[in-house]
Amino acid sequence: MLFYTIKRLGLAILIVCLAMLMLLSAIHLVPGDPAGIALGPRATPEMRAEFRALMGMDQPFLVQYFKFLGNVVTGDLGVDVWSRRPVSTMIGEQLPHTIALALTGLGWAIMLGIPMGCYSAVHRNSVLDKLTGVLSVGCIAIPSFIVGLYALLLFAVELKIFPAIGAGDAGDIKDQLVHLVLPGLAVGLGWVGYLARFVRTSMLEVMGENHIRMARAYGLSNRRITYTYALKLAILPTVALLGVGVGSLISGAVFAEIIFARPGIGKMVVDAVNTRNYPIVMGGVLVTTMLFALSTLISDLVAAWLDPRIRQGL
Amino acid sequence: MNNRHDTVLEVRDLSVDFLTGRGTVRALRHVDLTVPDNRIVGIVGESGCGKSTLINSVLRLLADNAVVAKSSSVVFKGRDVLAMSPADLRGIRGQEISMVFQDPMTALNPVISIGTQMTDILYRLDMSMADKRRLAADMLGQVGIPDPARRLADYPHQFSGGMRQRICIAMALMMNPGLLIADEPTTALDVTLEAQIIHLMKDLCARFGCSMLFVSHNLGLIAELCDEVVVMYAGEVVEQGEVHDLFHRAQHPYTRMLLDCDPARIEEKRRDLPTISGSVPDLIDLPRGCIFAPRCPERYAPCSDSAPATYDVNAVHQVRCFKVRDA
Repeated sequence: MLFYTIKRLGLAILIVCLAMLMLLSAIHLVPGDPAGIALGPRATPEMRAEFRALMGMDQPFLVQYFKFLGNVVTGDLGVDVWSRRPVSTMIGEQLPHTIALALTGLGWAIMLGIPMGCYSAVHRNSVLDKLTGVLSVGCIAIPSFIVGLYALLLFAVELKIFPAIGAGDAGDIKDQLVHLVLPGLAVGLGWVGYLARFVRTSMLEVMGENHIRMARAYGLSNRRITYTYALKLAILPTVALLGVGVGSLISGAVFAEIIFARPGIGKMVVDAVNTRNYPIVMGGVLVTTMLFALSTLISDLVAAWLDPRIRQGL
Repeated sequence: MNNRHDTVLEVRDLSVDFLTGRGTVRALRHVDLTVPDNRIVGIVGESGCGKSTLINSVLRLLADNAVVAKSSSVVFKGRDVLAMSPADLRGIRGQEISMVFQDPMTALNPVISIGTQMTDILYRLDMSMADKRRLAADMLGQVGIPDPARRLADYPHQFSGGMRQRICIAMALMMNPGLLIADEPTTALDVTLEAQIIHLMKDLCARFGCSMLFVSHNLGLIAELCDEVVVMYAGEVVEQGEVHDLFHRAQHPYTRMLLDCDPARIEEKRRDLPTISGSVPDLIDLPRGCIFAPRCPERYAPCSDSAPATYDVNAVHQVRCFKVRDA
């Protein structure tokens, strides 16, 4: 397991380095001068040169890349073009909100989706199975910003159960958690349906396998068969799916952050793109890439922990 | 049948239908079968003849679309398995009747260690986990797994196919059951392993005082291992009897053709292997009369009119064929 972990960690680092290379190339390949776009048409050539020097864009590509890498390792992501505040500090302020939101969405998806899928598989073709089938497809089909808007109108404006906007008072954990419920639902609802369908399919597949019949032939309890013998196998594809899914949860979070006026990386990057604030765009994208690499790393490690064939094979 | 032995399992008038989109598949029809104490009974027949449906009925492991006829009974040591509550049924499964499956590569759970899978079967025993593991290791040792105590922590993929079937046999015998059902236990294995596994099963069953119901399409194996044989065709028992009597004086044309098809019995060199012409009848739309009549080279007038009953060849040998009645 240790060897596998080290190997997998190395792979994650490589992925981030490659992503950084692509990120930097993208900025170079996009037509137009970033300095010109950032400073606007009335900027003088001197101002542009100064901007380029500030951003390090006057140096050869590879030098820029390795400087970028070196800076990232020391935690230096450059400074905001307008406020001149360090990007790392700004991301540090926003990141916890995004992670909390993505984890809440994930939590909704796991807490509702996996039991729904298990139930549907065990009670196949029952009324509840068919109902969850329809509900799941509905959950998948409705875009997260619609869910967000309706959840906001219903639970915050009409019923006044949950707060409408913001992330809650800093330092007040309970208030912050209450502020997470609705945006989390908006981000995670599609995944509830997705997971329910996915878990149902893989459970049905596993339940039809020989070793489950053998477990039955040995008189093991239904509970033991379903939740240990079948679920431990059926959950493996779901774990892999979730690792990748966190990426889409983060992009889905942008809508929730805008609708619920929450701080977060997604909203920050969207604002930065609009104002051509490249250091923030790069920093934001880099951090989300790292989050993505981290979540796939975690999902692979969880899969290896569950499945001896993975941890011994690689 | 043979009265010298008490019976362990008695299947009477077992009929099983499967409800499918195409119609009702009449997979088993009026099957009678007796497994005497300390005897090995073989079931032989081609694919799709109902062997698996029969043994799965004994432990009620049939698929959801199966319907067992009301008149059927499967009596194990005086208790009707078909009428049991789910709790009583669980009590029998694995403890009094256990099963070795066809393909050892898929019969064990790939993500649960051998030790856990073995000790899980012992959930009924009131003993400490350490004792259960000792018992599991002891059983592994008895089926010839080297260094058994250490290997309890291993997973199925760390064992070869033959080893896995040995583990399955160890699991099957761990609760010291009265009846072991073996569903083509060597079909998925190399021929060299086949004899080893068969001898192991025969030895252990004798040692544990366990009867066996052995399903195979390998006539040689049946002849070597079993005391009695049941020949099945298209969901019916067509011939049954003591192994020696049946193999030497096969009466049913199907049994004789099956014996002719056994490659081990072919003596002269020939271009084509013998086959039984025609194919198994559609079990949704059964022919009137004898089920084997459409393929039977010896059919005559009565065969296509009504279905034959079971007729005695002698005290230990019964056949479902008009020729025996009329002989």
